Amino acid sequence: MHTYFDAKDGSPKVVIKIKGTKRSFKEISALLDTGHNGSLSLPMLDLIEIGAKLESFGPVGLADGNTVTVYYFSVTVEIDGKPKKVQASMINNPNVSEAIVGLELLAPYIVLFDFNKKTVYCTTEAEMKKAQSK
Amino acid sequence: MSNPQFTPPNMQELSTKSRARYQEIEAEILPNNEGKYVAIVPETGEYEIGETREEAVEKIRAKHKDKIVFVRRIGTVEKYQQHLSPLFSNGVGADAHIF
Repeated sequence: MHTYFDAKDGSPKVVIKIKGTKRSFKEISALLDTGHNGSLSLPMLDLIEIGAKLESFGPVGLADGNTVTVYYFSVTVEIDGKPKKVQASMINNPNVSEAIVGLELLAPYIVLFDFNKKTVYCTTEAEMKKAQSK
Repeated sequence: MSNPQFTPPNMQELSTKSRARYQEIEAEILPNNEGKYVAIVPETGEYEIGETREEAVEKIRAKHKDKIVFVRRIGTVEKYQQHLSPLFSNGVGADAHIF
Protein backbone atom coordinates (compact mmCIF):
# COMPACT_ATOMS: atom_id res chain seq x y z
CA MET A 1 0.00 0.00 0.00
CA HIS A 2 1.39 3.39 -0.96
CA THR A 3 1.27 5.72 2.03
CA TYR A 4 3.00 9.04 2.64
CA PHE A 5 2.92 12.32 4.55
CA ASP A 6 1.62 15.10 2.34
CA ALA A 7 4.11 18.01 2.39
CA LYS A 8 1.27 20.45 1.63
CA ASP A 9 -0.74 19.86 4.80
CA GLY A 10 1.41 17.46 6.84
CA SER A 11 -1.31 14.80 6.87
CA PRO A 12 -0.86 11.06 6.31
CA LYS A 13 -2.25 9.94 2.96
CA VAL A 14 -2.92 6.66 1.25
CA VAL A 15 -3.22 5.97 -2.46
CA ILE A 16 -6.15 3.74 -3.40
CA LYS A 17 -8.09 2.89 -6.53
CA ILE A 18 -11.87 3.19 -6.54
CA LYS A 19 -14.51 1.90 -8.93
CA GLY A 20 -18.29 2.25 -9.17
CA THR A 21 -20.41 1.01 -12.07
CA LYS A 22 -17.92 2.23 -14.67
CA ARG A 23 -15.32 -0.22 -15.89
CA SER A 24 -12.12 1.53 -15.02
CA PHE A 25 -10.62 2.30 -11.62
CA LYS A 26 -9.79 5.86 -10.58
CA GLU A 27 -6.66 6.39 -8.51
CA ILE A 28 -7.08 8.81 -5.64
CA SER A 29 -5.08 10.03 -2.69
CA ALA A 30 -7.11 9.86 0.53
CA LEU A 31 -6.59 11.20 4.02
CA LEU A 32 -5.68 8.37 6.40
CA ASP A 33 -7.89 9.11 9.41
CA THR A 34 -7.60 6.93 12.51
CA GLY A 35 -10.49 8.90 14.05
CA HIS A 36 -12.93 7.68 11.41
CA ASN A 37 -14.68 4.41 12.30
CA GLY A 38 -16.09 3.85 8.81
CA SER A 39 -14.31 2.38 5.82
CA LEU A 40 -14.33 5.12 3.22
CA SER A 41 -15.92 8.54 2.73
CA LEU A 42 -15.94 10.12 -0.69
CA PRO A 43 -16.79 13.59 -2.00
CA MET A 44 -19.90 13.78 -4.18
CA LEU A 45 -17.89 14.52 -7.34
CA ASP A 46 -15.80 11.36 -6.99
CA LEU A 47 -18.96 9.29 -6.52
CA ILE A 48 -20.49 10.80 -9.66
CA GLU A 49 -17.29 10.37 -11.68
CA ILE A 50 -17.01 6.64 -10.95
CA GLY A 51 -20.75 6.06 -11.34
CA ALA A 52 -21.21 4.71 -7.82
CA LYS A 53 -24.65 3.32 -7.04
CA LEU A 54 -26.65 4.36 -3.98
CA GLU A 55 -27.34 1.22 -1.94
CA SER A 56 -28.14 2.30 1.58
CA PHE A 57 -28.75 5.17 3.98
CA GLY A 58 -28.96 5.58 7.70
CA PRO A 59 -28.55 7.76 10.78
CA VAL A 60 -25.20 8.87 12.15
CA GLY A 61 -24.69 10.94 15.29
CA LEU A 62 -22.50 14.02 15.09
CA ALA A 63 -20.40 15.55 17.85
CA ASP A 64 -22.79 18.50 18.17
CA GLY A 65 -25.55 16.08 19.23
CA ASN A 66 -27.42 16.19 15.93
CA THR A 67 -28.29 13.08 13.99
CA VAL A 68 -28.02 13.25 10.22
CA THR A 69 -28.77 10.93 7.34
CA VAL A 70 -25.71 9.58 5.60
CA TYR A 71 -25.94 8.01 2.13
CA TYR A 72 -23.81 4.98 1.28
CA PHE A 73 -22.69 3.97 -2.20
CA SER A 74 -21.33 0.68 -3.44
CA VAL A 75 -17.65 1.17 -4.24
CA THR A 76 -14.94 -1.34 -5.06
CA VAL A 77 -11.61 -0.34 -3.55
CA GLU A 78 -8.37 -1.79 -4.82
CA ILE A 79 -5.51 -1.87 -2.34
CA ASP A 80 -2.33 -3.79 -3.10
CA GLY A 81 -4.02 -5.21 -6.17
CA LYS A 82 -6.85 -6.75 -4.15
CA PRO A 83 -10.43 -5.53 -4.72
CA LYS A 84 -12.74 -5.03 -1.75
CA LYS A 85 -16.39 -3.96 -1.92
CA VAL A 86 -17.34 -1.31 0.64
CA GLN A 87 -20.24 0.96 1.52
CA ALA A 88 -18.66 4.37 1.00
CA SER A 89 -20.36 7.28 2.71
CA MET A 90 -20.98 10.47 0.77
CA ILE A 91 -19.38 13.64 2.16
CA ASN A 92 -22.21 16.20 2.18
CA ASN A 93 -20.02 19.29 2.29
CA PRO A 94 -19.41 20.41 -1.31
CA ASN A 95 -16.28 22.31 -0.25
CA VAL A 96 -14.52 19.08 0.71
CA SER A 97 -12.72 17.48 -2.20
CA GLU A 98 -10.58 14.93 -0.38
CA ALA A 99 -11.53 11.33 0.33
CA ILE A 100 -11.09 9.82 3.80
CA VAL A 101 -9.97 6.29 4.58
CA GLY A 102 -11.13 5.07 8.00
CA LEU A 103 -10.29 2.25 10.38
CA GLU A 104 -12.60 -0.32 8.78
CA LEU A 105 -10.63 -0.27 5.52
CA LEU A 106 -7.31 -0.38 7.39
CA ALA A 107 -8.37 -3.33 9.53
CA PRO A 108 -6.19 -5.96 7.82
CA TYR A 109 -3.09 -3.75 8.14
CA ILE A 110 -0.60 -2.67 10.79
CA VAL A 111 0.01 1.05 10.38
CA LEU A 112 2.93 2.90 11.99
CA PHE A 113 3.32 6.66 11.90
CA ASP A 114 6.85 8.04 12.17
CA PHE A 115 6.23 11.73 12.76
CA ASN A 116 9.97 12.50 12.99
CA LYS A 117 10.76 11.07 9.59
CA LYS A 118 7.38 12.05 8.20
CA THR A 119 6.82 8.49 7.06
CA VAL A 120 3.85 6.12 7.26
CA TYR A 121 4.60 2.41 7.34
CA CYS A 122 1.80 0.09 6.34
CA THR A 123 2.26 -3.65 6.50
CA THR A 124 0.51 -6.90 7.35
CA GLU A 125 1.14 -9.36 10.19
CA ALA A 126 2.39 -11.93 7.69
CA GLU A 127 4.85 -9.47 6.17
CA MET A 128 6.13 -8.52 9.64
CA LYS A 129 6.67 -12.17 10.62
CA LYS A 130 8.45 -12.76 7.34
CA ALA A 131 10.77 -9.80 7.96
CA GLN A 132 11.46 -10.89 11.57
CA SER A 133 12.41 -14.42 10.50
CA LYS A 134 15.12 -13.15 8.12
CA MET B 1 -33.68 13.24 -21.82
CA SER B 2 -35.43 11.82 -18.76
CA ASN B 3 -36.26 8.16 -18.38
CA PRO B 4 -40.05 7.84 -18.10
CA GLN B 5 -39.69 4.52 -16.25
CA PHE B 6 -37.45 5.94 -13.54
CA THR B 7 -39.12 7.28 -10.43
CA PRO B 8 -36.75 8.83 -7.91
CA PRO B 9 -37.11 7.30 -4.45
CA ASN B 10 -38.94 9.35 -1.85
CA MET B 11 -36.23 9.27 0.80
CA GLN B 12 -38.37 10.89 3.47
CA GLU B 13 -41.04 8.23 3.06
CA LEU B 14 -38.43 5.45 3.07
CA SER B 15 -36.85 6.90 6.20
CA THR B 16 -40.17 7.16 8.03
CA LYS B 17 -41.08 3.55 7.20
CA SER B 18 -37.62 2.29 8.14
CA ARG B 19 -37.55 4.10 11.46
CA ALA B 20 -40.97 2.72 12.36
CA ARG B 21 -39.86 -0.80 11.44
CA TYR B 22 -36.64 -0.46 13.46
CA GLN B 23 -38.63 0.63 16.51
CA GLU B 24 -40.87 -2.43 16.09
CA ILE B 25 -37.99 -4.91 16.02
CA GLU B 26 -35.50 -3.22 18.34
CA ALA B 27 -36.65 -4.94 21.56
CA GLU B 28 -36.38 -8.33 19.85
CA ILE B 29 -32.96 -7.89 18.21
CA LEU B 30 -31.16 -5.65 20.71
CA PRO B 31 -30.28 -8.16 23.49
CA ASN B 32 -28.13 -10.44 21.30
CA ASN B 33 -27.00 -7.99 18.65
CA GLU B 34 -26.09 -4.69 20.29
CA GLY B 35 -23.34 -2.94 18.32
CA LYS B 36 -23.99 -4.99 15.17
CA TYR B 37 -25.75 -3.53 12.12
CA VAL B 38 -29.28 -4.08 10.84
CA ALA B 39 -30.30 -3.50 7.22
CA ILE B 40 -34.02 -3.07 6.57
CA VAL B 41 -35.96 -3.05 3.30
CA PRO B 42 -38.23 -0.02 3.85
CA GLU B 43 -41.06 -1.27 1.64
CA THR B 44 -41.38 -4.76 3.13
CA GLY B 45 -39.84 -4.46 6.60
CA GLU B 46 -37.66 -7.49 5.96
CA TYR B 47 -34.29 -7.25 7.67
CA GLU B 48 -30.88 -8.84 8.07
CA ILE B 49 -28.21 -8.43 10.74
CA GLY B 50 -24.46 -8.33 10.15
CA GLU B 51 -21.29 -7.76 12.13
CA THR B 52 -20.51 -4.81 9.85
CA ARG B 53 -22.53 -2.38 7.74
CA GLU B 54 -21.20 -4.09 4.59
CA GLU B 55 -22.25 -7.55 5.79
CA ALA B 56 -25.78 -6.48 6.73
CA VAL B 57 -26.31 -4.66 3.40
CA GLU B 58 -24.83 -7.53 1.39
CA LYS B 59 -27.15 -10.08 3.08
CA ILE B 60 -30.34 -8.13 2.44
CA ARG B 61 -29.38 -7.04 -1.07
CA ALA B 62 -28.75 -10.66 -2.02
CA LYS B 63 -32.54 -11.02 -1.75
CA HIS B 64 -33.54 -7.52 -2.85
CA LYS B 65 -30.95 -6.51 -5.41
CA ASP B 66 -32.46 -3.23 -6.55
CA LYS B 67 -33.68 -1.86 -3.24
CA ILE B 68 -32.13 1.05 -1.41
CA VAL B 69 -31.96 -0.21 2.16
CA PHE B 70 -31.91 1.47 5.54
CA VAL B 71 -28.95 0.52 7.69
CA ARG B 72 -28.05 1.48 11.23
CA ARG B 73 -26.10 0.33 14.25
CA ILE B 74 -28.25 -1.66 16.67
CA GLY B 75 -28.67 0.21 19.95
CA THR B 76 -27.16 3.68 19.85
CA VAL B 77 -26.48 5.06 16.38
CA GLU B 78 -22.95 5.18 15.04
CA LYS B 79 -21.19 8.35 16.19
CA TYR B 80 -18.74 10.39 14.14
CA GLN B 81 -15.98 12.28 15.93
CA GLN B 82 -15.99 16.05 16.14
CA HIS B 83 -13.59 16.71 13.26
CA LEU B 84 -15.89 14.80 10.89
CA SER B 85 -19.06 16.72 11.77
CA PRO B 86 -18.55 19.59 9.28
CA LEU B 87 -18.20 17.06 6.48
CA PHE B 88 -21.53 15.39 7.08
CA SER B 89 -23.60 18.15 8.62
CA ASN B 90 -26.33 19.39 6.29
CA GLY B 91 -25.79 22.92 7.55
CA VAL B 92 -29.29 23.29 8.92
CA GLY B 93 -29.00 21.17 12.05
CA ALA B 94 -30.52 17.77 12.63
CA ASP B 95 -32.57 15.86 10.10
CA ALA B 96 -35.58 16.41 12.32
CA HIS B 97 -37.96 15.47 9.53
CA ILE B 98 -36.29 12.11 9.09
CA PHE B 99 -34.86 10.95 12.41
